[in-house]
Amino acid sequence: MNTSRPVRIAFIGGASMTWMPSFAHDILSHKPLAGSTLVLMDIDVDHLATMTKYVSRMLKETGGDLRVESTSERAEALTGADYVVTTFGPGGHEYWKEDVGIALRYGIQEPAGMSVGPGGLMQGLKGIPTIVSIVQDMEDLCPNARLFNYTNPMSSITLAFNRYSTIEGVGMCPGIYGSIGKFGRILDIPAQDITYIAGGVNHMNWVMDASYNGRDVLAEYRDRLAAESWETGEVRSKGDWDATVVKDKSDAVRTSWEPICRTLYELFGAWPVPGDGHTSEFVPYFIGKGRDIEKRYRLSHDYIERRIEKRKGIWDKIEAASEGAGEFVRGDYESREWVELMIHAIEFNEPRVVYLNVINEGAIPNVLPDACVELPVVVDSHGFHPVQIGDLPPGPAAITNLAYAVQDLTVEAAVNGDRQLALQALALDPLTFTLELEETESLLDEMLEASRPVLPRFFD
Amino acid sequence: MAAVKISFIGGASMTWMPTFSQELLSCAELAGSTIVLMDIDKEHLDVMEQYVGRMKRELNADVNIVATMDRAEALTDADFVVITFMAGGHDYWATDLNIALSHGLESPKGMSVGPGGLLQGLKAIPMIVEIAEEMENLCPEAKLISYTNPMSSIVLGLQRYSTIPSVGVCPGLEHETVRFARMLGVPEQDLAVSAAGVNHCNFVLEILYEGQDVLPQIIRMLADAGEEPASRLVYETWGGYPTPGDIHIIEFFPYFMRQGVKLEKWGQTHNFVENRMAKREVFWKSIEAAAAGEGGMVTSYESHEKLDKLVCSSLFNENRVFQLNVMNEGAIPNVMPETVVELNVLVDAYGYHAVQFGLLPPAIAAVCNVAGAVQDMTVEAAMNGDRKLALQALLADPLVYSMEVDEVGKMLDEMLEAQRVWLPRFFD
Repeated sequence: MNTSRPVRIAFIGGASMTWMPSFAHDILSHKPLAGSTLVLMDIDVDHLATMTKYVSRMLKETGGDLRVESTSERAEALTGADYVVTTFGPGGHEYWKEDVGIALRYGIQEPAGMSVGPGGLMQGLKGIPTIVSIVQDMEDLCPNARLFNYTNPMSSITLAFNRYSTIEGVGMCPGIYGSIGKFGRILDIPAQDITYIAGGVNHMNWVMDASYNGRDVLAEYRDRLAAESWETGEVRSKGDWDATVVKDKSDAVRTSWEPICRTLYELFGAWPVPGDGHTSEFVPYFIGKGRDIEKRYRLSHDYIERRIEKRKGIWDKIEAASEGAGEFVRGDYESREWVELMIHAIEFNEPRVVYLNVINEGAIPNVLPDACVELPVVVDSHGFHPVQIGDLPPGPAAITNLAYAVQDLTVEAAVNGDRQLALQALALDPLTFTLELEETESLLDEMLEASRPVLPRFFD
Repeated sequence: MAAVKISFIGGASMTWMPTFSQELLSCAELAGSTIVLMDIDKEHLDVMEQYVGRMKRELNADVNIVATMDRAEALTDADFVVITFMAGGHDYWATDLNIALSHGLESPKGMSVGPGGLLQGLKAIPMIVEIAEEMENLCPEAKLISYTNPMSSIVLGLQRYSTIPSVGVCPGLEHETVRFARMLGVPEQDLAVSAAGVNHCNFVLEILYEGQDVLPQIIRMLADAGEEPASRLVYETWGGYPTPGDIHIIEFFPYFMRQGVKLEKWGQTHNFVENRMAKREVFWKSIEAAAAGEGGMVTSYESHEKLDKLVCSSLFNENRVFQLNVMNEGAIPNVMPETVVELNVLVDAYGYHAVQFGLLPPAIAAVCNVAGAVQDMTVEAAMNGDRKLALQALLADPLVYSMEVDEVGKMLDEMLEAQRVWLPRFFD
């Protein structure tokens, strides 16, 4: 196939300031998708109007051959869609902040709080019923459409729509590409020429090997980080979860230090990505009750508050740009979400390997078959084909299997509004292993109560 | 009837031999058989030989008793090899548990998982695998039955590193079933127990008596008596009742036992092996007396080990079902296939066949999978003398989840050093 049909791409959460500016830019810049339609759907009509104006202006200024539609009706967006991209934020930032704040009072300091732990669980309980109702709508309105999910918690959301619908879909997180880029930057080698193999769960994915011209990239990266006296460096500014900015003794500013990932690499022989703020949440040793994560690891537990603050600035810029003033923004990330490239691979049957979140089904034999894992997947016209990568080292396999147990229980708790299953999920999460079971239980109850308005299945 | 050779490696074991000898010598179908007691402890072996000899006379049993310190002699042409020794003995076990205690970790038992279980595994697994390798030459058709702890990782080592058919037996669930039957005032054999899990954390999902599930009633009775608070909390939270008792199951969860938490809260104490050893000395005196013809025979456990029935079910294709430790291989689909699990196993002339159990509740499956990961790394660490894998095994263990990685490494090194003499693969 070398000619594309015009496709209809529906964004559920289309006013997302994190994702939409990047997606719009990427798709507009990708000429082979000319003639296609972007449908922005969001329940926040004010933000949706601004974002639609923003994308329309970008379209006009670049002379791109795309149509833009916008709607607050999900059914309208899904009808006839070829691709559905989910970018919504479950329950909104304020409830999320509330949940993570409650966990903090119990001594659990989550640097990211979007994957696992109390924050990840609560985001899952809110987001999973939404994603399941989206895919169930898709079965009626666009049964052949493919779903790309970008919403967190990635693993349990992806598990949920695979378990509860026949819609074909994957979860995509650019984290691993960010880390490979970081290896390249720190070692001053071209990231695109690094050969690597990785597998695990989203936000705790194990790079088992990475090489560049016969060089051992992981060992060199470790040595490079270890050579700096980060411990004596001052914290220059707080960055996001994966990029604490530290000034080292030679006065160079680095965005990488990674004491936790380095410890895990020494221990298991594989490098966990995408960075300390995420990977610390999957093991019990680093950020439990009573640990000083700021002093020891330069991690902070106020990520969501800072994120909310930062978003205000970004939104101001988006509003200005939508009115024709100032530059276009590019969201939080460099463009490596690849939605346009995956659609291209499918439309033109040009197989492309992308790190995606899919159901394991034997691709990693020593991880449970039902687990949602992140690994290389071949994307082509027939769909998504996980690549058999073989066994993980036993330690990382154990961590992955435990993460699956939490995914599994989170999904069932969310779908059934079942407090007991939610308690089981939280009690099996390594972040609560420093709590008494009774404390875990009252932590859960406090969070459920605080997020009551966005948890109808638990309270109706 | 069948005349077979049944050899005990660890044949002077005071824990097991009085019971086993009574079971086997009372079994008419085994007339003409030979029982071989093999041990490296000459003094204890002599006493146990006399003890079993007296039992033979009293039961008027048609069985030959042989005692030897030569393992090859014991294994040659054996039909069943029963492992009953404890690697390194009680002194060294005490050392491990005391090191863990010095790091703030109490162990109520310390023989399955945690620091105590790991070190027992590192010592025992290579020894028992070597026995199985010797069996491949000296008695390739024999079956191996292991009673030694840590049950699960020893059986995994055997399954992975030898072609000899093997199985692990623990009477824990049997003892609990008898206890429940007494509480209810009904005959033990009338309780139908549905249970699966890993040894020393085997989850009872249902107990049928006359078609009714009596597990909730049993839990209420335990609650009224204030017994097994940790097991009941697990049942309330996760829907399965773990056996055999708080003293064992506490070691599989991070909530009950961790650095700085006192076991007292759960009505348990640290296992001071020194105290056990004092009791064992007293018990041994009574075996010595009985062996010399003074006083009655001893009872170490009530007889629920069923070694006689296990042997006969194989020999005579009796198709009996026992709770045994075997490789999962799909019997519990949501537990990894290469995990050693404890569940119903059909024993016939062809061997040991795990009975398909079905899914465990997901949280319970997760507990088994964590235990499976610890088994896996314990076996590989033991066989390869690999400190790094031993550290990974320990770090995967819920008991150390609240500790710093550095401190876990330090604790491990102290224990390895203390056990140096029993760990040739780590130090040679």
